Amino acid sequence: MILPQLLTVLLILLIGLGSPLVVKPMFELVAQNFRVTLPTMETGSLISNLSQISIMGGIFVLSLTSLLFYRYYHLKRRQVMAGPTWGCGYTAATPHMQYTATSFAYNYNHLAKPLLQNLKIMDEIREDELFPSERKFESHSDDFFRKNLIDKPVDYVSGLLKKIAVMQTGHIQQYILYAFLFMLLVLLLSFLKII
Amino acid sequence: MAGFVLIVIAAFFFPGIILRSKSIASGRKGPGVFQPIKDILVLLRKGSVFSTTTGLVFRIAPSVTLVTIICAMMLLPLAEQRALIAFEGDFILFSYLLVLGKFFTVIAALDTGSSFGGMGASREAFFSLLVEPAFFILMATFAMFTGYTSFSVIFNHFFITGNDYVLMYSIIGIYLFIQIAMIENSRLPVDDPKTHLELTMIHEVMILDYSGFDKALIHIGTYLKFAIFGSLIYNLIVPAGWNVILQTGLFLAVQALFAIVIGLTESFRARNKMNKNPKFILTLSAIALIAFMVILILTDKLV
Repeated sequence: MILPQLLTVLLILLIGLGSPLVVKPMFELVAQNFRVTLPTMETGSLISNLSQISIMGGIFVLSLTSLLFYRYYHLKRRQVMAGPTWGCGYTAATPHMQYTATSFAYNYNHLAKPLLQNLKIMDEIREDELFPSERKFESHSDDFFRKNLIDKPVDYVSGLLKKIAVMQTGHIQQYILYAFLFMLLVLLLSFLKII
Repeated sequence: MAGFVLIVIAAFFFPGIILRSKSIASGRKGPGVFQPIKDILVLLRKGSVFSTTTGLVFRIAPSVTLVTIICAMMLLPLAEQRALIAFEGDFILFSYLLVLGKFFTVIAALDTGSSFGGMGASREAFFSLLVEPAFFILMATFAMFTGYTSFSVIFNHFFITGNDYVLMYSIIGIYLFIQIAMIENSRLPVDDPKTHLELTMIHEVMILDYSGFDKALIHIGTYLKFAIFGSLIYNLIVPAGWNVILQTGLFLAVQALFAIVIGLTESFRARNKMNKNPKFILTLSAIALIAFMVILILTDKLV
C-alpha cells in the first residue's frame, strides 16, 4: 500500500521541483498530437522561468536539510528539556481543549459573514436574572453555496419526483394505461405536426 | 550577490539601530547597537526547552521560516546588479516564500496547544491576509509603470521609464513598503513586540514557547526580513545606474534611516486598538489600488 503512495509523492515532487523536465516533453507531445504550433519564444520563456523556480526549490530543500542537520547536531551537544506549554494561568485540562478551529477562524468568519450565515441560538440572560438558569448554546454555519446551488435544486427535483410518485400505484394495468396514453399523446402531437 | 551580502550586513545593525533610536528618543541610555546580536549569540549557546504538547512541526518551523526568508533574499536585486535568481513574475515567488515561512510559524503556534498561541496565530494570519493585496497591487502598479514583472528589471527601469510621475510612485511605494514591513514584522501600530500581556500580543505570543537555538533562528529571520524591505525601499529611492561604491554606501544609509524611522515611529506612536487594525491594513490596499488606477489611466490601459 505504501509503495504506490510513495510513487505518487515522488511524481508530485518531480513535477513541483523539476517542472521543466515535465513541461518540455508535454509541449512536444501537445505540438505533435494536436498539430499545434507553439510559439518558441513563449515556451522558451516559460521553461526558463520554471527552471529558475526549480533552482530555487532545490536551494530551499538543500538549505533546509543542511540547517536541520546542523540544528540536530547543535542541540545534541546541549541540554534539551521538556515541560508544559506556557499557559499564563489559563491552562486547560488537556491540550485538546485549548483552542478550537472556530476560535481560529473567528476573524475570517466575520469577514465572510454573508456567505457563511452564522447562526447562534441561545436565550439571552436577562438583567434581573441574578443566577442564570441552565441554558443551551448552539451555533451553525450554513454553507451558502451548498444551500443555494445544491440543496435547493435537489429539493426541487425530489419534490417534483415525489409528486410524480403518485403514479407509482403498483397496479400493472395502470402502467399499461400510462404507456397507452403516452402513445396516444405521441400520435396526437405527430398529427398536429408539433413533433 | 552583492545585494544578498549587503542585506545580511544590514540585518546585523538593523535591530540595534531601532533600539538606539528608541533609547535616544525616550531619553534613556539604553543598550548598544550590537545588543540584539549579542542576545542571539547567547541564545545560540543555550539549551532548549520544548513543550510536551508539541511535535515535529514546532521543531522544524523556525528553520523553515529562516530558509524561506533567505530564499526570498535571493530574488532581490541591488541597483543594476541582477538578483541571484531572477525571472518574470519573481515577486510572486518572493511573496509566497514569505507566506510559507509565516504559515509554518502559524501552525507551530497552534502545535503548542496554547490558547494564546492559537489566538496570536489567528491574528497574525488574518493581518497577513489583509496586507497581501496591498503588496500585490503595488507590485502590479510597478509592473505597469515599467512594463516588466521581475524585481531585477522593474527596479532597473524604474527611473528610466521617461514617466514624469516617477517621484510620486516612489513616494507611494516607500510609504507602502514601510507599512507592509511594519505589519509583516509585527511592529507598531498593529503589534507591539514589547508588550508583556499575552492577551494583547500577536507575534510574540506565537513564539512564547521557543527557546535557545530555535528562538535565535526566529530573531535572525525577523532582522533579515526588515533588511529585505529596506532593500526594496532602497531600490525605489536610488536610480540603478549610479556608481557601485556610492550605491553600497547609500544602501547602508537607507537601511539605517529605515531603522531610525521605525525606532522613532515606535517611540511616538501608540498601538492601534485591535479592532482598528483590519481597517488600517485595508487602507493600505486602498492606497495601492488608487496608485494602480492612476497608472492605468496614465498608460491608457484602463479601457
